[in-house]
Amino acid sequence: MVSRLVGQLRIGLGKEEATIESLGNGEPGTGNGPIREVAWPGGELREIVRSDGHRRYRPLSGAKSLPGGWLVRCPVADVDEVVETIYPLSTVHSREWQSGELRVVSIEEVLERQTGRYAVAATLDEDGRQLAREVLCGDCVRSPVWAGAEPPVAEIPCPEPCSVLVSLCREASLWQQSRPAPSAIDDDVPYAAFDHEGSAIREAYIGRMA
Amino acid sequence: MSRGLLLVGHGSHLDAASSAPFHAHAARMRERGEFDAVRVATWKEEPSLPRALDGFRPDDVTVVPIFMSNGYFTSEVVPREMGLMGRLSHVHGHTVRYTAPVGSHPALARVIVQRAHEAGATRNTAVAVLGHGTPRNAKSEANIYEQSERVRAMGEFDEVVTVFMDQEPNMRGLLDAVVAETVVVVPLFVADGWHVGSTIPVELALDGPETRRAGRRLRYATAVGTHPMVADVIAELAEEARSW
Repeated sequence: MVSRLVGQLRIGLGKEEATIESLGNGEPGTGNGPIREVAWPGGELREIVRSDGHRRYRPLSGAKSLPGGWLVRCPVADVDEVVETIYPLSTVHSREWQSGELRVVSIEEVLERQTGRYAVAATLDEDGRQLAREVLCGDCVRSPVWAGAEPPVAEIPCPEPCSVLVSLCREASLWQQSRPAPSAIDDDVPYAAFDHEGSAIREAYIGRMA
Repeated sequence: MSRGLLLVGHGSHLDAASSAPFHAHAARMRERGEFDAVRVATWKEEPSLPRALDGFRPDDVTVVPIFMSNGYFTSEVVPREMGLMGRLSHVHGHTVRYTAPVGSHPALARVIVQRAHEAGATRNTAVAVLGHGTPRNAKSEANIYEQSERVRAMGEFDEVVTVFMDQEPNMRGLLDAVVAETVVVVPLFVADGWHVGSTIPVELALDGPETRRAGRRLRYATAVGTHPMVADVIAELAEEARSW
């Protein structure tokens, strides 16, 4: 069996059957126990990867919080579909990146087109944008080729800043005007609730502000 | 020519369940087999709106917004993020047909009536169509009133009223607005998410599916947008766009 890594997955390819195994952190009580086999096809896999090992919602599919302790067995022909369920558009973007056809969009373009409550994100200065990228994209298995990253062949290229990064830039633009006091990280704060004290991403950003 | 269906919606960074109805409707549309491919894209989740067409094989794509109001998101955010120029666009090699939201289609009134019946509504019952509403966008309320009017015109209930969560006439004055002993509240929302599951029950001090108050009964239906019949509305919108 040939194996390769994609994000937090190990993909094993046999002649007819493939296995896709999570290398993420184990769920409490199961992480060090037997590996659970997830039914495929069906909706079970999507439900599993929507939450982390502590049952917290993962709005960023590439966040390095994939729950562990499971694997999928499927026909080799289904591997891309399984990977797409976990990392949407990842196989599409990898193929387009390798063939030089990936449409890449800058953070400037993305922030400038925002309106409503996200319009203020465009006021985040260059240092702030870079810090937001380092903090959030550093926690993601996708490589921000929109920022000039050169992902290894097996990695997932990210062609455009996502809505989670836009949301962080919005909050960071406000912190830029009035720097908040740091707080202890609170695991009960949802991942993308950057306006809540104790958000791990928020505290990481504030802690690194100049 | 191959035909694709793209269901677009809001999604959420905080509520894992809010996009579930989109995927359920997409599964129903796949079962119908009317399209070569069906995909979901949202503003907040993945695939995102600006990348919604990446790797999507069909060259003719019908985009149906799963929103109840024809407001800020359908007229500004979705077209901007997807690069649409109107109801017919050519984007990244695709012909894109952008329909009105499911909330504006006359067929949705049948789903509202169905939801009301499921919550126990009869002829003598008052039905309250409950929309989000917002004082920030006057267009947001239009669909809600139109759907209420359609439900009223169907003549199945003696009283049909329109109330809102975030504007006047507010849902808190509901029991004063109708005379029937039993009132069925039908939330004209896309999902049983934060508002339907928490905000509204708290504001109305509901005890559950049925609340008794001052000798009257208040029944609370589940969100219109989660009903399987919404797939029929999606199919009708897509069929209408076929001739553009």
